[in-house]
Amino acid sequence: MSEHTYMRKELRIAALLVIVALGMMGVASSQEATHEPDADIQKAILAADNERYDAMQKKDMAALDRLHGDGLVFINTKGRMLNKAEYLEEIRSGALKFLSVETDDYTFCIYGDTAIMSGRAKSVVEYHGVVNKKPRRFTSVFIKMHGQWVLVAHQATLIADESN
Amino acid sequence: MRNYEGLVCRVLILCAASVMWVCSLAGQERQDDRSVVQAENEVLKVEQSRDKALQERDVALLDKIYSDQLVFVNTRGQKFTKAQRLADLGAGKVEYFSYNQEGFSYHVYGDTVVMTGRTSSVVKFQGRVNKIPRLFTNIYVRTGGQWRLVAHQATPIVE
Repeated sequence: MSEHTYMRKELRIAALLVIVALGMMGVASSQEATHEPDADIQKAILAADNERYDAMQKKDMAALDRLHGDGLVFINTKGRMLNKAEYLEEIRSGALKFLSVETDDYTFCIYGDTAIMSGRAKSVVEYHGVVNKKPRRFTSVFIKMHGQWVLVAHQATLIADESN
Repeated sequence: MRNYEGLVCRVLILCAASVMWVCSLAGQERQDDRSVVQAENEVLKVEQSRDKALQERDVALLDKIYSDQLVFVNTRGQKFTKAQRLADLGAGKVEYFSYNQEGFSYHVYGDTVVMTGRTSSVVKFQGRVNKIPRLFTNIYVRTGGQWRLVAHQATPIVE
């Protein structure tokens, strides 16, 4: 191989590596959080949340297992903190029943594969035999794992009656 | 001349390989346990700064810690933006008489940390003094190398 041919080959390798490196830098920077609300992500989050409520009402434990992250932290309106196993057991046993589902007033913040959804719920819920119709604010955190948005954190707080 | 071209090629290869190595390390770092512990420690440090800033009504520091998209839900189920929260703090509408947070737990998902804990701080807001112990969730997201609070919600412990 002549010195000139060797140089050209070396130059091509260098150019290729530079392109690959620039590509990797692009991927790395794209993993930085973005604040752009993405309509498609919002739709996907709402779809995952609807699927979750549907699975709760049907007690579809396989779907619920898939839609909740293993590290789930769930804080309910009574200030009780539940992990995934405890939360799913409340649904399976019937301790927690959704008699109706009604949510609105959403705010979404999207940071790459993290989506934070806050909203208001007026769902009617039976919890350990007591029916709760009071409106509440919630914050839900979804993380995209293996192509699926899963709930990893949820907290609900009753909206106080300001006339009190 | 040929020696010069060869040197340029080698320098380019070296630079590109270095960038690829650094990028691959950055990717691995998101996964390993060491980075999880590091994220927890960093978030705790920011949380401690936030606690101090709240007690001292250091709005400038809170402005750096709070994300512009902050969603803040208090124990009465009221929702506030960053601007509203900072305005209330700056105007003295939020007053801490004592500050106590404990029982932290963390779940790290790359550049997102879900932090939960319990607080029994005594705080006055809108003329009401709140002494009820409560659970809270703080969501921190790392943007531009800085952990920022993007969401907070608190719920009174009623049982």
